Amino acid sequence: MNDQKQFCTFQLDDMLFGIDVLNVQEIILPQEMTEVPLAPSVISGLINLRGQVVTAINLGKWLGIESEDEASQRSMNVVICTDDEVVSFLVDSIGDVVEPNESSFEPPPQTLEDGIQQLINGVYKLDSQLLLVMDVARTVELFTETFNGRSGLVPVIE
Amino acid sequence: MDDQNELVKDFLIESFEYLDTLDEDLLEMEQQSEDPEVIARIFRAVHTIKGTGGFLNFEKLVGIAHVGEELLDAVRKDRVEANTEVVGALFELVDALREVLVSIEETGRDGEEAYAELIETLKCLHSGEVPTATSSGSAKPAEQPVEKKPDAPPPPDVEGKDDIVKEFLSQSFGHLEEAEKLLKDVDSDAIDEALISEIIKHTEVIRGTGGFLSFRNLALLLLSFRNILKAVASKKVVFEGEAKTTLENLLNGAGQILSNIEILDTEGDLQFKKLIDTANRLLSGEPQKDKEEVKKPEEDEKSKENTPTTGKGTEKTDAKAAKKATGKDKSSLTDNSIRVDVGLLDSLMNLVGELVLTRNQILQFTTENSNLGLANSTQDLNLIVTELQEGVMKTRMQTIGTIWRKFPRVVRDLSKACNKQARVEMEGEDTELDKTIIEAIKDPLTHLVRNSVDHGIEMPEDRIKKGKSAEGRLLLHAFHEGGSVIIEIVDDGGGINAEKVRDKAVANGVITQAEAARMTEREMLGLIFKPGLSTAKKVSNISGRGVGMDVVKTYIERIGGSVEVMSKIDLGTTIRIKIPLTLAIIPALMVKVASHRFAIPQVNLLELVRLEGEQINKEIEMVQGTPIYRLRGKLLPLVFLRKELELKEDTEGISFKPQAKKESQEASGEAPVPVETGSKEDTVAINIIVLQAENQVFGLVVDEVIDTEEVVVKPLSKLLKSIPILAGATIMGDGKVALILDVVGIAHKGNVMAKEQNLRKSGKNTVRKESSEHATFLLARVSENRQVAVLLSAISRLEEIKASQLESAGNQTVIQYRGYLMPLVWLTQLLGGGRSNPDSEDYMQVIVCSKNGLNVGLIVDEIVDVVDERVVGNERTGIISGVQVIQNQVTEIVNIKDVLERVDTSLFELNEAIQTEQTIG
Repeated sequence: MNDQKQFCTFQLDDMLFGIDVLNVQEIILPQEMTEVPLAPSVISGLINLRGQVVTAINLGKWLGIESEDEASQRSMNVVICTDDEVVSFLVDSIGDVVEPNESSFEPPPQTLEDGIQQLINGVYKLDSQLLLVMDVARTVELFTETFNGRSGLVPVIE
Repeated sequence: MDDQNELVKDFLIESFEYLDTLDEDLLEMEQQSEDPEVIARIFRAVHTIKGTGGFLNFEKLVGIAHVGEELLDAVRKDRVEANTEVVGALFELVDALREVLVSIEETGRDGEEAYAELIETLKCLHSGEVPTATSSGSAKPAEQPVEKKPDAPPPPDVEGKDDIVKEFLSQSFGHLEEAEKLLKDVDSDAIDEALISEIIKHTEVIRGTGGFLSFRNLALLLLSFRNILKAVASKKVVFEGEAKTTLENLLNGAGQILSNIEILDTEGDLQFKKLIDTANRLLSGEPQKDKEEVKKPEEDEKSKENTPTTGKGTEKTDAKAAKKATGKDKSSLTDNSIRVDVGLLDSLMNLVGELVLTRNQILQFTTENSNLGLANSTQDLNLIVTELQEGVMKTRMQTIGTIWRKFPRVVRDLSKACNKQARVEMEGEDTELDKTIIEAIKDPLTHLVRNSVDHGIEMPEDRIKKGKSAEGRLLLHAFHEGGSVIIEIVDDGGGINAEKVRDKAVANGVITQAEAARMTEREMLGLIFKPGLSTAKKVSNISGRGVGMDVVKTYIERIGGSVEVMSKIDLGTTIRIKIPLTLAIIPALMVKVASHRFAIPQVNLLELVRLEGEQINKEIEMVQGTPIYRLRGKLLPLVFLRKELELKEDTEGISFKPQAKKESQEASGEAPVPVETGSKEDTVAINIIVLQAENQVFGLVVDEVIDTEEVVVKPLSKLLKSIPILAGATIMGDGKVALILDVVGIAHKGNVMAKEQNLRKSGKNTVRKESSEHATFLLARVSENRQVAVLLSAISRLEEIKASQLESAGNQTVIQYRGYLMPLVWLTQLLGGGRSNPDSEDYMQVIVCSKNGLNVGLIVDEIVDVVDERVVGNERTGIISGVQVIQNQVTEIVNIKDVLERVDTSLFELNEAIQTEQTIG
């Protein structure tokens, strides 16, 4: 427990998010993206990460903080590695790696919107801003459930 | 400790393999019990398990194997007849051995089960047939196998390797001593085969275990020893002079090695080359005799696996030799194979995948640069990578036969248990699948096969009553289709009564009554995969334990496959499992729609058709808004990829509707079909890719066909699993990602799949329900280019009505007709088109039909003709029961009954009643 947790931070709109560095595989520059027809709009497309096909998710769209001129923003890729899935979150910009003081941690305030509420573990009160800590595994799980639920798993026998 | 575990592991792997072959061999033995080679093979397998098992102190295993061995020995020597009873007992023996081995695998011990009954049975069979024949076999208690063991040792798992070696030594010295002693008794004038086999038995025990412990020289010496001795037994080598001394020397050498092992823990550096050379020379027939039967030493090395451990009667030598020749290939295969960790293969596979991608990129690069040297090297690279790719692919592949192999046994046991007769046939057992997939489908397949026998195939007497042969047939069929592997389990049994399944599902609360009412037969059958539903009317002890159908489905879906069932009562049931490619490199056709590139697996591809300019209008016809192309006289439904993928991009490209402008469809608010084409009106063209999805052929319209290419299939994230038209993704030469389309998924989405799958009856023939009767149709035109056909028998009269006679009641157009009210309906409206608004002076053509005694008029544009046409079987339900070409025009067959269903006549029934009363009054 003495190990200080490190978070990779990134900016979405005016919010600062953090992801445990252990979950971050890498951060890459804007990539050429292949759109996936019929996919939920939150899925921006697929990118080629050195031979691996990685799904890119537009986090901002999910949270409803979509900026209108999308082309200029949301293009940095934070490549996340969970147990069985590698996905990329598209964000506005990448910040520093921070080591916040454990004592400044608090669970997410109840008043947060559901969209964000579901994705974060808690909040670190940094000097300048609040750092929202994402629960990566749950986020990916949530997406999977939502997408597959929405379009409905295709019944095999029709 | 670890060494011990390692040894046990090896032993288990080997033994399981033996058991697998045992099953096969026993089945063969059951069919042709006289084949000595098979019996010898069985004997050897049991013997080896016993030998090594004994050496590792698995007493119980040895005990069981021993009685089995004794029985087999008797069979081999023709003292016991290999009847069903004996084979049955041997099957049980194999099962028992397997159980014990499993127990060893799981707990490290050979379990608590005593198998007393089995041992008793085996003994009885053995002694029962030949009560006096031998004193060695039946009299010997099971606990005392051939190897004389020291006192019961402690459980194996507390032993270290040293103890094993010690044990081995103490046993081996004993055996060696015996062998030496016996060898002295061999008389060159009267060769006693029994004596020689006794000697070989002893040395083989040493050789087997020695080989197992990697004492190579020891094994070599004893192998030579055995070979010479066998040659002696078959009188190819005379037992005197050199042969005799060589044999003695060989045993001596073995003794020396054993001593070395005792002292040094290794075989030492004693050289026996000379001795072995002498032995080989002896064997190679140099001294004398029968050249043709002489065995070469290296052949011996290979064929040792297949050679029975003891000599056989000379009269059988020829047959044996012949058999050996066939058996040799098999065993040399095993000798030449090694075990490789699957993880290693996985990483190799990945690397090759990357290599292929890089190659593609280089190829692309080379085409843009004209450097001759580079071009040549690239060419070479291309070839090498292609071969490497093929090679590595092969390493991971296993034939489906590896899991099917055990099914004949399963079916045999099961049909015996249910008093049924069934035989297994296999087609495409060399279809290769990735090893991980093979593992994953093993259990579901077993379950399905069991199900087929237990529930599918009827009792022999019932089968005969139904005019089928008493013996049920179970066909396992595997093949590639659409980039997937399809495995079908086809039985010719009683079939599944779909309605009963549905009723049961309703009774069990799996579905509601309302749902049930809407179900098609196929959906009803699909219910058997739902949890909480047993298809068996009564639960038997064979099926209904372990995995159920819902679990089967779960298993198969877990690896991305699908399963469906087709069944016809009394004809049989087909279970069709589709396993998609997960890890593979496949040839694909690259196509372009809007700015998107897609790969279509070439296995689905039948042909490409390109229509230009006027052809489009002429050759694509619309049926109820569905474009259809006539491909060499056959109807080909068209699916527009752009539409299916809901690609909005490029809308400035020409939106084009064949014939649509002439039709009334626009009025009915149908979305225009975007048929693409280049960007200029004059180069309008349609690319149709003719594809096969399962049994359905359809045309996929794309913007552009690019090229064929080998693509590496990359799995899609599970986030995208819900998109059925995608099979995967791949990375193109330019580094961009392209999506691989699932052709079957597209067919489903495009609604071109036949509602009822045809049932596979046998082999490659599908049963197509073709009602070949002729019927008389009335042809009518309903809109400018749309022709319909109505069964003449369904029509009461044809009338011509002046438009001014039309009146309205509620929302319904009506007319006073023969003193009653007759509701009128525009047929086009029911068929999804608009209605025409006739001038009041126009005459309209009305087809009068009768619904529950009430007349209903159907308005059409024109009555064309009455024709006698052959009805092509088309079981679609709904208003349009089918489409076929009549008088050179695409014609929709209208199901009048269904049409009338849609006309609300409730208002008029009452009216009619009143009128009727009035008339009477």
